[in-house]
Amino acid sequence: MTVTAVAQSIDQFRDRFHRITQEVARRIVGHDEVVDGTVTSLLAGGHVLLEGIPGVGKTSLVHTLADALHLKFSRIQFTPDLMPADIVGTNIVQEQSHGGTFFEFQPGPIFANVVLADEINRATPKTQSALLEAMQDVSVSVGTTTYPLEQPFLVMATQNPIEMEGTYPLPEAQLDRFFFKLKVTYPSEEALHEILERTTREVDRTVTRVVDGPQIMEMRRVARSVPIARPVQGYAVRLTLGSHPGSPYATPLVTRYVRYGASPRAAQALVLAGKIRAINRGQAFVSIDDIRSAALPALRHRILLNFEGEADEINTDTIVDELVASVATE
Amino acid sequence: MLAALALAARSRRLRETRRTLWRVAPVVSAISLAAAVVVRWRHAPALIPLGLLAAAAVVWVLYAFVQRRRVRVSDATASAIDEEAGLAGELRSAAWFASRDVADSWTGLHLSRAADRLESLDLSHLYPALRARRARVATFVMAAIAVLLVTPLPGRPQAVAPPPNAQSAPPPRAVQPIALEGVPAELPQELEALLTAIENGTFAARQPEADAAFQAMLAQIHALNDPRALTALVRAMADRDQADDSDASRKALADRVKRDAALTPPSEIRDALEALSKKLSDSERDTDSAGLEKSDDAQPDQGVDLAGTPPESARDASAIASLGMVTLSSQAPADPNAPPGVGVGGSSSSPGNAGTMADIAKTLRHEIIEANEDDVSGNVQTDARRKTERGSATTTFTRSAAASFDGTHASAPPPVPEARRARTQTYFSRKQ
Repeated sequence: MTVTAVAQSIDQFRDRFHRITQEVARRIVGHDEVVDGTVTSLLAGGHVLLEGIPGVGKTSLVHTLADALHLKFSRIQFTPDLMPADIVGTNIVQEQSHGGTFFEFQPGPIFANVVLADEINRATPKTQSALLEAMQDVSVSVGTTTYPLEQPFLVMATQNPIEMEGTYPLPEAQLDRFFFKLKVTYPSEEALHEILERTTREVDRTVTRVVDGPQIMEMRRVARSVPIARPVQGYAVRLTLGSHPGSPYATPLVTRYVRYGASPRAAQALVLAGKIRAINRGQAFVSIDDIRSAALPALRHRILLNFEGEADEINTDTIVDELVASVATE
Repeated sequence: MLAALALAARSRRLRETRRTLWRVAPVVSAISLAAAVVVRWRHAPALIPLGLLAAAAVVWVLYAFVQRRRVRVSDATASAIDEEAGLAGELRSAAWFASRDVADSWTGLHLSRAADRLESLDLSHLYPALRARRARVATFVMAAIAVLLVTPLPGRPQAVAPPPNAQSAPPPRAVQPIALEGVPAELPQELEALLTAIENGTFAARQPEADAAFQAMLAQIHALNDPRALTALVRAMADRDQADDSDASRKALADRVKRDAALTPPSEIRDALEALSKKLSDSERDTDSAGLEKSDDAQPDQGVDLAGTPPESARDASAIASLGMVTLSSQAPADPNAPPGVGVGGSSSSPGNAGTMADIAKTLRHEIIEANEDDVSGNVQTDARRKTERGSATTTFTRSAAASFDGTHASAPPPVPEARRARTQTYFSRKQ
């Protein structure tokens, strides 16, 4: 690949990324950062956990994104009585035409490119764990058979932070598999006006499919080609290590309130997100600011507070902010 | 890419160097100026401010030379240039890849873009030449004043102002020459000049070690061992009102020499003065001893006149008396028929008695000399000190192990009488 081809691939990447976010923005108002994070997760090969109060557009965002991508979409509404087989599928008995029976695998809704796991914390941990293999290995095992999932595969889960009665908080192993945790906040006054303008009138809100699966895979490959200098990568490593209480880079808040820090997946997320942001800036290198911008969504759900942190109602966002402010860039 | 980066780094380093140097230069000049003022005021050698200026100039040149050389651009430097040029991390990343010599189309694109952006930078605009006009003016003005202050100019009256104590101090006193073989006649005058200079505080500015004549004088002072020469020196340097009292003159001179030696920093001069003071003190004691012997010889039957002992020995009168009594008690048995004399020893004129007045006087002399050197806080042990220092006290501290409670020997408390039981039970209850 020549330098010119690299420059063209960068421009193409930027163009596609821009088109996806533009299409999503036709229906979703005021959540540019969340949309960017979701698309970044898709292009990095990760999954997204969207957290927000009811009615702020979490599910609409996922629906819109699925519409903008020429991909197979499925939705799973998580409830306490949902079983793993309801997600991954099951073997059912079929009758043969000439007599006799046989087991046939009936794929569940997980067999799609974009899976919306709505209110994921309402299902039992057993059911939540059904997603673990799919999210990590992009495959599901039923009985003795492992079925690969089609790429690109993206799980977008939503959860409600205020209605905690009858919910099952996601285990750490599950949380760690989410590339980003994005908080969908309440829209601003201006955005609320725009929402009302769009939803209370007869407006064509049809979203065009702008990118298909192979194009997304191509974008993933391009994103991983961006070089990153060791000093910049060192910053991502220090950020990750700094979230551990015993680390020399740990901040006072980390030392006092954190029980376990971020896993190596956090460092992978920081670097990959940094690369995608670098290409979106039209650059062929990753800067410290690229890493820094990904710190909050990549680290906030990977930091486990200790008892004192829970008792003092410490927010992990505060810890990450302090970490970003105090970890040296050199 | 690396060449352009090295050029930028050099420009930045030179600017930082100039900034540092012109920040330090006025301070060094001010220190030199202050040193020049002090030197001029205190008659100190002019080498201090000039040397300071020269050393600063040498360090200046060396530092500037070291900073101009080409060095490998570190990641920190690249990061700093990147931040100052607003390149959003591109230069830092490119510098790392360029130093690793990575051959990759992505890296190539990155490096070529970084090089283009770096070349488009106006380094003279990014790192403009530092003028530091005020620092330059201040530095040169203060350095020039410092040099002028310590430079002796022809036609300038008394470049160095005399110290205030020197203005009010009297000039060296005129002393008589010594007319004694083997001792230079001008020694008293030179010694008087030296002592006066020490007392006036003008001693340091003379640099006496460089003066050969001065060295000769010190050698003569060291060579003064003859009591007659010392007596002649004392007599020559005695005040007019003390001319008749040789002992007082000797003591006064010894004290003066000792005091001036203490004012002098450790050197050959101080050693010579201390040696002279000691010789004078020793000769003074010898003279005292001789005086006592003379008085004994002259008045054999009158005993020792304690009132006639030197004043410094009077403070030890009680010690002398007690020691004298001890000495007397050890003499030969007294002769009841002997003529009246001192103590039980009888008259020293009695030929049969060993405890003669000469012996007593000799013993007393020794005791006087020893007592004169005694110091209660030093070499004298009182009874109280002996008791404490020798550790003869019998009081000691004992330490006993913690005893364990033996429940078998415990007895139950006496039972509460039945009549008081109800009151005892309600004693601690709150009254409603």
